[in-house]
Amino acid sequence: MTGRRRTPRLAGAFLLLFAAATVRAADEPTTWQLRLRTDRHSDFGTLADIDSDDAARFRARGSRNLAYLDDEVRVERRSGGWHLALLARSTATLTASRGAIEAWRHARRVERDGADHHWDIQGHLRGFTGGGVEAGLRLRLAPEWRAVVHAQALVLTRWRDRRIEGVADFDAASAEYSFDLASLEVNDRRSFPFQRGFAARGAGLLFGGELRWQRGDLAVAGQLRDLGWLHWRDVPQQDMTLVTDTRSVDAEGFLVYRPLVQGRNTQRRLVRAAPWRASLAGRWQATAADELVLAGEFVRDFGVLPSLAWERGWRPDLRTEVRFQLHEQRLTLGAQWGHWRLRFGADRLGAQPHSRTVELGYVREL
Amino acid sequence: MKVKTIAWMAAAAIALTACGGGGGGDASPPPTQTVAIDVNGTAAKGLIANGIVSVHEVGAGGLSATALGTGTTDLAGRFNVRVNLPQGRPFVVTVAGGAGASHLDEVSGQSQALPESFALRAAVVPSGTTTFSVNVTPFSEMAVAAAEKASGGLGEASIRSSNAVVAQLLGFDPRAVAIRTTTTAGSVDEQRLALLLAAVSQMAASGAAGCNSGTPGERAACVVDKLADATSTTSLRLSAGGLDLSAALLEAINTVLQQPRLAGNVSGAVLAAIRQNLDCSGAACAPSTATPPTTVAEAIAATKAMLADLKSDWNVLFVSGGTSGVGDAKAEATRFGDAMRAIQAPVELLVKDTGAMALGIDLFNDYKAGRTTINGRSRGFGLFASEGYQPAEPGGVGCTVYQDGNFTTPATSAVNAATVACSARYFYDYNTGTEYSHAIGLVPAGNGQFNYSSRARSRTGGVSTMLPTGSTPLRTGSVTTTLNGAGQVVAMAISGDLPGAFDFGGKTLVSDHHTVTLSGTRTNDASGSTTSLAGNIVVKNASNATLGTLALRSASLREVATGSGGQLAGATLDIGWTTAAAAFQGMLSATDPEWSNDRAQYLPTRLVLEGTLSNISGSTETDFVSGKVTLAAIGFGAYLPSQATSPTNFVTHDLAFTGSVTAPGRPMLQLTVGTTQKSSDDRPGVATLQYRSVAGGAARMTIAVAVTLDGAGVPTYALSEPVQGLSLALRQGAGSADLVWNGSTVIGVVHTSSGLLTFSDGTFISIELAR
Repeated sequence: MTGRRRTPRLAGAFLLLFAAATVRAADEPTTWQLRLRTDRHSDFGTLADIDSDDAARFRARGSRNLAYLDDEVRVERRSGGWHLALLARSTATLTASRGAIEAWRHARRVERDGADHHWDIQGHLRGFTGGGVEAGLRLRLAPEWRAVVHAQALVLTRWRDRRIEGVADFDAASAEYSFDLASLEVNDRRSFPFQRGFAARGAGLLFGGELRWQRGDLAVAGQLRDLGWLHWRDVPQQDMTLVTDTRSVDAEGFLVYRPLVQGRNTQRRLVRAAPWRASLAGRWQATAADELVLAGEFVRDFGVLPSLAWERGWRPDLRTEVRFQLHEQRLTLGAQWGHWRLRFGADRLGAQPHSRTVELGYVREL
Repeated sequence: MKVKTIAWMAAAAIALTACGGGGGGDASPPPTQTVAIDVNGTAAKGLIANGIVSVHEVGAGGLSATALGTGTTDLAGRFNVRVNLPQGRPFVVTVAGGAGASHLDEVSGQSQALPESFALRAAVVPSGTTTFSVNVTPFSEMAVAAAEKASGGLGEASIRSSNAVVAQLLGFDPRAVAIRTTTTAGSVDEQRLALLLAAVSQMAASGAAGCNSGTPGERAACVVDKLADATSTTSLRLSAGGLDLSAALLEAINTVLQQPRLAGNVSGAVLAAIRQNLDCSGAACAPSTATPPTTVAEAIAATKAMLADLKSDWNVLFVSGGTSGVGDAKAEATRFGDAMRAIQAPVELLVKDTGAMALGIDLFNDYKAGRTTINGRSRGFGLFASEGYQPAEPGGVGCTVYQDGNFTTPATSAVNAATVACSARYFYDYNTGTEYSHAIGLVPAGNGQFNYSSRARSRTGGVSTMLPTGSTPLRTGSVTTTLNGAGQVVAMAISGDLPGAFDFGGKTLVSDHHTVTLSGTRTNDASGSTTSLAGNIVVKNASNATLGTLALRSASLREVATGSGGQLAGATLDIGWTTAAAAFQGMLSATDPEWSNDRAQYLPTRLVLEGTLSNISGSTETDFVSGKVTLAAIGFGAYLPSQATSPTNFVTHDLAFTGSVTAPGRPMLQLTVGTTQKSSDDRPGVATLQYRSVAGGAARMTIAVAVTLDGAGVPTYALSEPVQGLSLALRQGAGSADLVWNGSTVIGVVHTSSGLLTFSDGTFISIELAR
């Protein structure tokens, strides 16, 4: 509830900032930019395993586990501090507890050690796919302060948000599982009996921005993205519980066994906060050509993803970057050479990476 | 601006009126809206031609005398009447006799004129549609008559409850089932209704319930009136004025079932629940006190409660394996199962081993006295289990007279006849040619006494192996007989041990040996003999500890003389079976013997087991199951045992179980099961189940289940709850099935792949019996 209230307030603050600072927009040359980016990671399996749903290869990495996907294609025009972009994007984040993954492996008979087990299960998948426009503005707030604000208006073609929470147990002597799980899901592709027609597309209004402070060789920047709302009229939703302790006593004193699974399908106008992300980065201009960057990205339900980077400008039209993302254990190399931008990173070479990012951009000044 | 203001005020006023507001003034309720509806259906006693149809509103004062609309049935009994009816108001459809009206009588096959006094009605509570299909029969008339007698008279509530009571009695709502003949009926409910209509005709034809005067049509009217008078909302039992209409209708049903021309394609299995309901007593006659749902929400809630009850009963009674807290209930069911399995073996042993001894001694005496020159004798067609192809079944029991005490050289004359040996067969494996049997050797000891030795064995190709393999000792004892002047055994006493028993229908020994004390008499007559027995059989393990005791309080075995020595024509056994954990007290009877078409076999065609099973815990004995199982072989008289079973040479087996089960923590369950299977088929053609749970003397839930096979052999499972008006039919292999309320409103969908039942209000539950 608190988060739901905070989101509009923050978005409102961005809008105010947007409106108040337009008169002080930075003067920049007009450029056109084409950018393709894919960024994928999984803690508990290779990227191919995630796609194939192969439980045999899933393995919990820690008490909390993360997988994400962030793909985007955009064409952007920058001019006078403003930018306007056409974009298509697909983003999803899955967080899962160790218990969730181990229970999944156990149930799929991947791992049976003949012992009793208790699992705390938490899993949350949030994602959407859509396309639309983004408008943004670079601002000079004060000599040491810079800001960027932007807003995206998206048409959604896919929306899924599913949370599963509860506990599960396995009794080796009886070879029986017991569950107490609850699932809440929004899924535009879920179908169920008595389903009404619903809107073919959803909508998203997302805000983002960056606030940057720089003094001398030091700079600190905080960034927010995907702060806003997703909306879909009459999108299918399903609330469900799976409880194996079904015994109870009815009003007449008789023993009664309830159903294992109970739930409700609903369809109503749904507006929900988007899965926002925040990051904080510190930069140190070590030499005239070299910059060191320490950054951390905050992921809801998971925590912070830290990274280290060394950026070097070799000459005015050539700049390189080496970045290491600690959680992803991913090394990324990047280069800006003339009009081209190229970035590639992976946690390992070969065909079985857990983490991979590829970015290709072309910038043309007009 | 002014126009807009006026329009807004007008709209607001309309909205207020619609909300029941108005800010004062006339507070009287708005007039009920009248809607035009079409009422159609079929009227049948037999199908009623030219019947006078009228539709009457049921108001606060009961049935309106003024018809809202009228019509006439066509030659097929169909009618269609359009009327203007106050919205939501119940109505009654009446089909009356009179000039030109007639019905096609099922028993005579003739059209019979219906007098003016003849009238059938059906009452309906509208559910929002504008077209109502309602069939009018004696059974819908019974519901209307019961509603009139209910507290408050004819009204919406009494119509709902009386229709529910008739639906409980019959297992279906007669207003909603298509009217067919017994040869054209398709679904189980159509078959039931067709046969019941024929049974009403049978009542009229036989003059039942005092309806034995007047024209056939007047007798039919009389029977309908008597049935209607006997129906109430307080009992499933049909009785009025000292007349037991339940018994009369049941007798008529049984009569129709026994006449192939009238029964058509309808088997007794589909009528099992109705016959049981008509034969009810005590709490079994109590109709459900549940209020039939009037809204979809109530129907959904009722469905959820019903499924929870089903799951609960199943879990408590039948799910094996213990989980904390429910072990007691499951243990009851486990003990029940163990006891039922354990009782079968000693009962079979009693019949076969003692029968073999009697057969052997008779044979020996006859051979020695020269009454027969054949040194072997057998009997008991099909009285043993087998597997594999059966080219010809040997007798279940067979004996041979021998010259020696080792039973190796068959006797060739009365002079060298010295002993007799018998084999009681329990299982035959046609795949390996192996017979599993008890071998019993009898050696005369003078004064009518025979000493016997016995063993369990398997025998393949004439080579015997003692069972269990190893050093099983011979079990010995003696048989003392008393002969009459003709040299026939008229009394017999058995004392000693017998070998361990094979599991029923199998070849595994389930006990080590038995200690037997039996005595009895035999009365011979012109056609055979009747043997009376009493005594005990104690089942022992290898340590000589008692596993169970079978007390034969009395037994009567009827044997008829045949060319091959004799056939078991009937038996009645009053038995008690006690183990440390359970006890069974009851009667087993085999009756109604019949010759096969070629007179090669003469067998009882009706087998009944009736009794009570109790679970024992310490000194506490708790009744768990009581009931009756009836197995009837129909068509044995036309069957040719010497020829292979085929679609043209078969026996139809009707199996019915009626009884009650009680498990801790749950209401008592009353079950009625009926199945019908031809011996040429590999599975039953139809199976029906009525399942009632009873609490506080009233039915808590009544569920009817019918399983039928279509032409491709694919089963369809039809489930209905008559009180709540719920029904569901699921064809095997189908991905989903609709849950229907009141015959037409779909309130849920079952998906077989997910096992989820989703309701029209968006809620869903899983359907599972276990856990």
